[in-house]
Amino acid sequence: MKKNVRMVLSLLVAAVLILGLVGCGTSEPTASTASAPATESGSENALEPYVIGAYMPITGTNSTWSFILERGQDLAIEEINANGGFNGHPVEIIRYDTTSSNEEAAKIAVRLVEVDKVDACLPSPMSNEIKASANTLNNAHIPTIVVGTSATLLSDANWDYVWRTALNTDFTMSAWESAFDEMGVKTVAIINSQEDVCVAVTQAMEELCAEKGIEIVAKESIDSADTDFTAPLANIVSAKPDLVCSYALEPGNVTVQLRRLGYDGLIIQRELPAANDFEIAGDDSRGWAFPSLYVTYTDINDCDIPYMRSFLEKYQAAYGELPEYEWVYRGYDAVMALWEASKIAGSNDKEAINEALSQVVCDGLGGTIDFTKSHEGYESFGSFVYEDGKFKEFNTWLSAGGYDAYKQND
Amino acid sequence: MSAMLELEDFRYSYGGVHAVKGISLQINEGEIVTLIGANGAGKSTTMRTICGLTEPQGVQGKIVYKGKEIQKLSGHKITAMGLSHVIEGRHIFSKLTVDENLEMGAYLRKDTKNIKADKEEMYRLFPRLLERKTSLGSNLSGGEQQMLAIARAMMNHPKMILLDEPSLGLAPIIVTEVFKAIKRLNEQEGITIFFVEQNSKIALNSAQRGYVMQTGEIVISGSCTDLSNNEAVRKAYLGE
Amino acid sequence: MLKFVTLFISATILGCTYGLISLSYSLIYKSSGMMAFVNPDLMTWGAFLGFTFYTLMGLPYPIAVLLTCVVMFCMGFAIQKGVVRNLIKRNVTPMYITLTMFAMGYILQNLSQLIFGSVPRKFDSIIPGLKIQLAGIQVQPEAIICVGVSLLIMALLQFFMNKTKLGTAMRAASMDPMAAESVGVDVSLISGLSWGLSTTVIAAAGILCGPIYSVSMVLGANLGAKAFAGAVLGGYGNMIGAIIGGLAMGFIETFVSGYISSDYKSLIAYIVLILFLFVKPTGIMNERAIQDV
Repeated sequence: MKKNVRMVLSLLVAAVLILGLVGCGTSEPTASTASAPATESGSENALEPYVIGAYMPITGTNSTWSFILERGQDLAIEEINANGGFNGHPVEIIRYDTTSSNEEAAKIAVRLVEVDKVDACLPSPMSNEIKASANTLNNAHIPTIVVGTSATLLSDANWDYVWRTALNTDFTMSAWESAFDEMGVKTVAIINSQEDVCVAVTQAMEELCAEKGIEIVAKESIDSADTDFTAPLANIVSAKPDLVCSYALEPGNVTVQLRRLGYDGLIIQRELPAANDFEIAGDDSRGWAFPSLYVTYTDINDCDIPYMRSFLEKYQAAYGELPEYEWVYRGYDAVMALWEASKIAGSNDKEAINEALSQVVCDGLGGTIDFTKSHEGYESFGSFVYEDGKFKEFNTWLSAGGYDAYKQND
Repeated sequence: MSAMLELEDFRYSYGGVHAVKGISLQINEGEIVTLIGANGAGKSTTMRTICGLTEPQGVQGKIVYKGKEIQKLSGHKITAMGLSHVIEGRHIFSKLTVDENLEMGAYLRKDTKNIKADKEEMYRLFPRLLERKTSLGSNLSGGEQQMLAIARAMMNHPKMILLDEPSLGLAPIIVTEVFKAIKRLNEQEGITIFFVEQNSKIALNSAQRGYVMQTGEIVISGSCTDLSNNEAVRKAYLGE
Repeated sequence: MLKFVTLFISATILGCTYGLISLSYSLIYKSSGMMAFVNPDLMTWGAFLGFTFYTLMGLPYPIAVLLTCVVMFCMGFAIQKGVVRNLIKRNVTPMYITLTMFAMGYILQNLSQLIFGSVPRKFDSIIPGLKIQLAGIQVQPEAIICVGVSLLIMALLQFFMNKTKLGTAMRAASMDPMAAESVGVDVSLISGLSWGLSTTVIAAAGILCGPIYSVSMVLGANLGAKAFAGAVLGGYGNMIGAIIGGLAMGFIETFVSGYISSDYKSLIAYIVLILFLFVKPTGIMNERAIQDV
């Protein structure tokens, strides 16, 4: 009797452990084939669909905003299929879950190439997952558009078939080039977490400061999983910097604790923070400044950019709310850029499309996507500052005396 | 003399083993009764079950204390009914002092005023404990621990005390002392006593009546004098 | 000087939080003799529940705290009765119990993610708009509440365990369950109560530090691991040791990262843990728990 119970118990425990490992992604990837929203024209069913493979962390630690990336992709596909598809062929998308694992991403890429034989690919926005999988896609000559932001993603690898329609954190420094001069910044403090993307942008900032002769009076590193940052922040505040760069994965807590220690100046972020970062920081998010192609809105009337506004209207009509994170724009842009290439190529052949991509100049949600000079679609973009509950375009704000007014309000 | 504690066709099994195969015995008020037998005969299992320290699923048959069936009750409830137990291996609270151990014995009592007086009484009955009043339980000798366990059981004002192998691990001189104390409790305080014992000689010398258990069954019973003179018993248990 | 004061205040807050968590570890060890690995996830639950009652449902803070404590107490009791007790009854090897505790922690974590979401949330201010100046540093009123209530809980717990009948029964039951049963202590009930108490303590830790560190899934895991080190430092299983160890941990971590290098902030906890496990496993208070294990 006891032996049986022991066996059952150990099987149970083993089952739970295995389930846990499975959750970490050691099983075969399973697809969620999402056919794009149906099109009206009935003659399409005779034509072979143009298949796009996509993967992202749908579950796991990085899964929070994947659903919105999907929505961006779906909106684009819906629009494309309603307007002739890819050279007459309807677009279909196959999705896989990387479960926030790089190994899983690598496996999925292989599957997309060898089993699903996709025509194009949209990999995960997580830079590490891209690095683990893009080689496979490139070697198979599959036109691939990434939306991860890590600076060295493309320049390190020099892939012929991989393009980017998202922010490259290296170029974000261009947003601060002239701004720092105009603001008269002499000293900067940096606090960063250890992820690749944060370390990369930290290095870029250090280079910019060196170039401009700006002194870095404090540099502290933190662990993203931690919750109390008083010690490193105390060091920063006592160094009395003109500006603080907060390159942490989750800026909410860092900002709150920084403000509490008495720092009221601008806090530079590496990209647009997420809605819940704003929620956590509350009023302390006043003074957040960041480079970005675009911002998210809580009220559609705050948006004064026409093409963005019409996209938001489409999104709202489809999902009943406004998007909370900018991954939706990245997803949309990637598919649209691909479509533009298909129009230029006049054919859906992989090589033709890849060749055509190098000629793409089109409107994206963040401005102009231009692949003629390099595989980076967005090479320059603006920055924003968050004040009075609104996003204000930085340089405009600066020239209008916003920064001086801000300093006086401290 | 009414039956205070009665076992009616009591059985106990666990894990497929029938440790106790159906025994009946009775202890009357004011008596000292013993249950002896070889190792593994089932005596300790019987005692532990009466004390409510075993799994109730294995129990069959009845254990009746003062007219109430107690075979499915857990230990603390049995203690609350006035049946204190002194468990095998003594089990005193090693990190508490002698005095605190006695206090714990009075855990269920509501009349806090009298507890102090009762402690004094215990120190009178067991002078050795008075000497070691502030020592930690773990620092006492085996014999002192056994006295403490018994004194602690007394603090509950029990009508009956059950003891499981009180001589276990004690030197012969100490064993004699312990059993002298047990007899004192019965004669002076009128406490009914039922004990299970490996050491058949001292058991039969201390109790009035006895039962002999063998492989889960009671094979013989009677007054201790008769049992001591019984040929079979002498051969098997008294080493003669 | 300002920096020192800042660090000191922050270390106190952190230390009190660790102290509460370490206490809950020790409570469970004292009452069931096992190293509980579910505590961090229970803490996350406590924080999220408090957040739900206070921020989402808008109940007054004291009611939110009370409700959270009640729910968590029942949860702890249920875990002891449903899971732990059954395991002990079946006489399984301690290894199985440990594994089951891990599994439970995993289940709790994922349930929490399902119910509360994986996104960090902001715990509303308890006294909005109030800013307190302490020796020139701006301090959140929630921080003062955290320290105050923590110390109160620690003191109450000490009193409870040593001076009340129930507390004494708990200590007796943990010292020797058979002996306790024999003197009339309902060990089964007491064990459930001990777990419930431990869960409540750690839920309190969760609610108290929620407003300070924001409520997230990793809250418990991150703090729990370091508090564990604190418990070992003080003497695992010892109540006073837990408090001392937790406070010490908070101070060591804050001051090391403030004056030496922030790179070592989390690392130092594990260094301390390993050091003590090898050199003095009984901790500051010389508690024999780990030697026996």
